[in-house]
Amino acid sequence: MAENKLTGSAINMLSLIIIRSLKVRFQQVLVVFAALMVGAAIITAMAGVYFDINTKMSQELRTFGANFYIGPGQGTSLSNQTYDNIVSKIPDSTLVATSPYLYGVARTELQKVILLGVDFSHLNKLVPYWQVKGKWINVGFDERHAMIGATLASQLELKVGDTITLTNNAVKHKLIIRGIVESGEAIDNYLIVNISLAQSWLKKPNEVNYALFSLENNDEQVSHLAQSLYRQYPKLEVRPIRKVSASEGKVLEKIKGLMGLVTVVILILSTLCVNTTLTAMIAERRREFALQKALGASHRDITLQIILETTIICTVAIFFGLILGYVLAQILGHAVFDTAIDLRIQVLPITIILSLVAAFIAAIVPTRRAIHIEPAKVLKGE
Amino acid sequence: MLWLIIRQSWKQNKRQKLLAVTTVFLAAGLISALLTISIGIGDKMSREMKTYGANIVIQPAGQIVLPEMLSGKIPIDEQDFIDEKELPKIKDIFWRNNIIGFAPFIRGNIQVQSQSIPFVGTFFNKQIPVPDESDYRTGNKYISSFWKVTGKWPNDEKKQVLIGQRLASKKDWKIGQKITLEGKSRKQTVLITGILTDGSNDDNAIIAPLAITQLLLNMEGKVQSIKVSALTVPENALSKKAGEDLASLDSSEYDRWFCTAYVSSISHQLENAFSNATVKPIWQVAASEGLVIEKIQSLLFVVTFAALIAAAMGIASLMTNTIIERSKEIGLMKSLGAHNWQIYLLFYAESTISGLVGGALGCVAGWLLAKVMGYVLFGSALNFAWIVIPCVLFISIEIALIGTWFPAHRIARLYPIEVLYGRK
Repeated sequence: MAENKLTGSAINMLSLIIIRSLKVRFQQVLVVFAALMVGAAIITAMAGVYFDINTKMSQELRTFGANFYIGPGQGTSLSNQTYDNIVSKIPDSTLVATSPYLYGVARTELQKVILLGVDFSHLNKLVPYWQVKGKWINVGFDERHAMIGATLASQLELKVGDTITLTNNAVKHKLIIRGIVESGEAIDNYLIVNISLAQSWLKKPNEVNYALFSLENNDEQVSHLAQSLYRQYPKLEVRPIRKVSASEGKVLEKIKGLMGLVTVVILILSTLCVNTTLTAMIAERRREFALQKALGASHRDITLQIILETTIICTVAIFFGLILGYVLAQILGHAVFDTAIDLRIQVLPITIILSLVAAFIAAIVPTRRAIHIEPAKVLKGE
Repeated sequence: MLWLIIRQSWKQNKRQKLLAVTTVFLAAGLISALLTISIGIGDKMSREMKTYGANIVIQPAGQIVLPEMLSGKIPIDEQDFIDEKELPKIKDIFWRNNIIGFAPFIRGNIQVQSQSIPFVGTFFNKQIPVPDESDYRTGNKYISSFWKVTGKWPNDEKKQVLIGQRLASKKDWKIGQKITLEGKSRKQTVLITGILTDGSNDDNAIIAPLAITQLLLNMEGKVQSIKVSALTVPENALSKKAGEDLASLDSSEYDRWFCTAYVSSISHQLENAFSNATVKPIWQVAASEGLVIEKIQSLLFVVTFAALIAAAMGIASLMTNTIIERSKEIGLMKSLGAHNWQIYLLFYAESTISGLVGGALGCVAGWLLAKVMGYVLFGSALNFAWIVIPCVLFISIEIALIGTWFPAHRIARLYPIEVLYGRK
């Protein structure tokens, strides 16, 4: 009983010391708290961005356009149905954009042109690099508007808003030019219309020449899909467009390496910064510890007190740091990628462990010094 | 007097000052490394982005390009060509050092075992004398790094070819095998040195050195198109304006546009160098690489900014601690007749010294760190921009001063009696 009482009062005493120590030096505690919190926030934000960078950058790399090709093999053709079938087999999360392509020669009132039929509804995501004067056509059923390649437009002296008329003996079809496309590729020479119009005008109903796909490729989806489609459609020509898909991997790897390295450097340095701050805080209290020792405090008491204080400040700081870090990551995501950053679960242990480790390493040296203080010397002011 | 106080304070309180300098040093090192990387990354990444291949194409003026799907199926009445002799002019423009490489192309069909097969002529790794550099080498080895070649690259001077991977499996041709190509008027036996996978229609073609192709297709001295890979800076408002209408630029804008490595200004200079050709950016590569590099750059700048805030917090909190610790000393100074401004001066002078020393050391550390990171990531050092040094010094002194401001004001307001008596 008596022993219990004694420990009880010791605990009371300890909690009193700690509460008083936090209260009296509130301003200093607040400063250390702020430093720890910002440190934890930075760690959270950086780790969060690092784990999400792969997804985010692979979305950014979709600006290079299609990375997957499907066309008819030797002696076969690709039909609308097969195309629709293939599209339905690609998971939504992987498919960024797709369009069938159909080429043919058509007569206009001015001269013969090469007609290209595409699916306009996805086009600006499939070929975001096209330099378009005027506007994109954003719907998949518009048969009254067309886009035209820059070279062809200058040959025919057409401007945005002009009309071009397709003729087939008596049948005429008027198209209003919505946008002029410059890509630096063969596309610059074509008249681009809706696929359904191209199919009916060229009398190739249900046929497409080939189809291009833009797929997320942060986890080798392209090569996996190529293998599975190759098995299901052995007669079709299925291939990743290496120029885009292979380069993507290389560039992603570089970016990941870069972010990883930067993150590690920031982690180490902000941990060290927190460390020096804490060291300073504990070291400046020599006099206090000397007094405690003079009054009979044991080494264990002093160590316990420092550890408890550090833990309390750290826990609260980490909690707020996590919240602040989440906000920071979102700001960063919106500033750079215009979307939110998904914070992975791994971020939590990383932040907590790193912050605690930093705090306790910071506590070791000054604690040892505090223990080995000679009260008389310190209190006398030597 | 001030000097004496400062010297004494640094001597007496070595540990404390060391901590302050260390913190500033760490922060400055971090910031200078990040700044160096942010500035240098554009260059490095644009080199990495060259894996996407050429970003400029040179074609004969007035040429109609058929889709790969239809080529060969619709006859073209008259073909225009570029003279092969004009190739070295690519390395003779203002931006010649930004040209990483180029490769000419001819496409046609060739008979093998009386079957028609697509036939492509180009440079693999060809030595071509250009002004200033007599041993300049260029070709697809430099500009098409996405080509996957199993086996060996052919020698441009020998009768060696690559075959596309689909063609190889269809015909069951192997590396090391010899095949006979039958042109319109000549025959040539060539050795297959490698199999090419590139995911385009060239997977079905025979790819041969330019000279052999010209000979077999009766097109000596001619090329159909040239792909050029150039280091460029991302497009901006000025280059867009130039792209829409060159005449709309005034003379200073024109100079600025001409002297910046925009893909459009390099194309413009190439077009002027060739006698009868149109030069166009391949926007798939040119526009996209700019966007991606900009993303990476802005990511790094935001990260640097975040690191700056963290560093500032760390330093500020350290300063607060060290200053509040000295309240007794300040109380004594005040009771001996020191003015508030003298106390401020003391603190600001001290933190300036910490900032300067820590910042200078940090610059050195940051420089080393950036070098190491450059080697790890890109295999070559990042160029150190000298602008980083004044920036970092300024920032670290500034942070130290701001960190001092709050506690200095608080402590200067104290009544000496309270401090010395120990009540506060």
